[in-house]
Amino acid sequence: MPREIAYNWLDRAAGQSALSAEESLFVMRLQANEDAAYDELVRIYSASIFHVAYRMLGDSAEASDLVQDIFLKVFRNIGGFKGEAALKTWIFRIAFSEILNRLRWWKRRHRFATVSLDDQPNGTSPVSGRAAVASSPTPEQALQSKEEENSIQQALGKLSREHRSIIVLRDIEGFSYNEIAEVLGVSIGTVKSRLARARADLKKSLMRYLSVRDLR
Amino acid sequence: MSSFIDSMVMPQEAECVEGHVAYCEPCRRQLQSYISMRSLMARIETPALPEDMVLETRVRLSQERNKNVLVRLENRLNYLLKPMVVPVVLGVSLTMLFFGILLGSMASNTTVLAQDRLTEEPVFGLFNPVHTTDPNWTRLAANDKQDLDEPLTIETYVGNEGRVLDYQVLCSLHKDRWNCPNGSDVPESIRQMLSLAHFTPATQFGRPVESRIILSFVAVRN
Repeated sequence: MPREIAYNWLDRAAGQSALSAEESLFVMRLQANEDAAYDELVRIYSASIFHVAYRMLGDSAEASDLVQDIFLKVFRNIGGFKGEAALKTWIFRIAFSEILNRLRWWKRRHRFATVSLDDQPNGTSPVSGRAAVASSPTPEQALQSKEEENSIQQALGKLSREHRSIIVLRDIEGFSYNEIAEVLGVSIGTVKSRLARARADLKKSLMRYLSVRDLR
Repeated sequence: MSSFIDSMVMPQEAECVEGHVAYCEPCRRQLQSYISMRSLMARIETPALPEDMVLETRVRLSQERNKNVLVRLENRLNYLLKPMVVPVVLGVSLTMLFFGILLGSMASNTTVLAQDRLTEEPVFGLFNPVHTTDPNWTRLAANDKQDLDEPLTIETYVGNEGRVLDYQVLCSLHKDRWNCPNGSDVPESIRQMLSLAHFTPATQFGRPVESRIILSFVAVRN
């Protein structure tokens, strides 16, 4: 089952179109330029936005910079937010807009969509700094996990921007179909068809890096 | 199949897919590969956040938010005034309470003194009645020579200096009948006594006030 990311009380069930009372209050506090509200916003969303940005860009430093730009854009536009969508989907819509702009900027400057993990300027990759797990894996397990991670990231990099977006949102971040439709600004039918094609493409890409048995 | 593994198909479509993969080996393998791939993606490690990313984000956001001069001024006023709100409100409330009590007590004294002293009951119970240690009253009580034949009840109005201002006969018993005339049957001795009598006036909150006393004279016969 896809991993469902919990966003505590800001979670909304799929299909709801109006802000909840708590969400409305939180938006009012943001629009009132309250310090505590912005601290809470960064605390709640910074990790998930970074994960999405990293999966889309493949570069930790770029993703980190983009997270800051995204929050600045959220601040500049919060005054115009009328509650037409959930706050979460509205923020991720801004996030994806910035991510796609960055990808287009890279393309114009002939920079590949993903940067090889072996070429990290600081010599490390985010994978090596992963959060500690409850049980320490064996060296073989750690190596296999790292190779798997690298392969997945390489395979994601081979997908088109649209397919990569939908795979990241659905299969990695656990967004619902409705949320994906709101974030990407498409219909549910488009989400279904795009996701089907994206998974088919991803499967072809993954089979280059992983043995067939891993996909059975 | 993609929508099927996410449970995003109609029940009839789900039945159709389940029925097909039950006997179609290639489709069953493909369905299983999609399920495995989705599990693989879900197992992917979440990348660790760069150090200070959250802090830098907050700093940049704070700088952007304070760029606006008005916002900066508002924030500065908030920082200055917020700690003072509770003490100021408390101080003002206590001051108002104190002066309210003070003015209230002063007003109550004035009200007592301005009251219609001859017709109304005292507003407060802090009332010390009139009393006397005048020896004339003792002599009157002990005098053998009585010019008072019948019991007599007089209402006397005593001023704030202790002098009798006026009096009124309430009732007297004459020929076995109670009469209540107005002052004409008071014996001379009693009238003289009333004119010369000096009482310690009644007081309210320590201030001398006018008052009334009821004097009853009872004839004693040997």
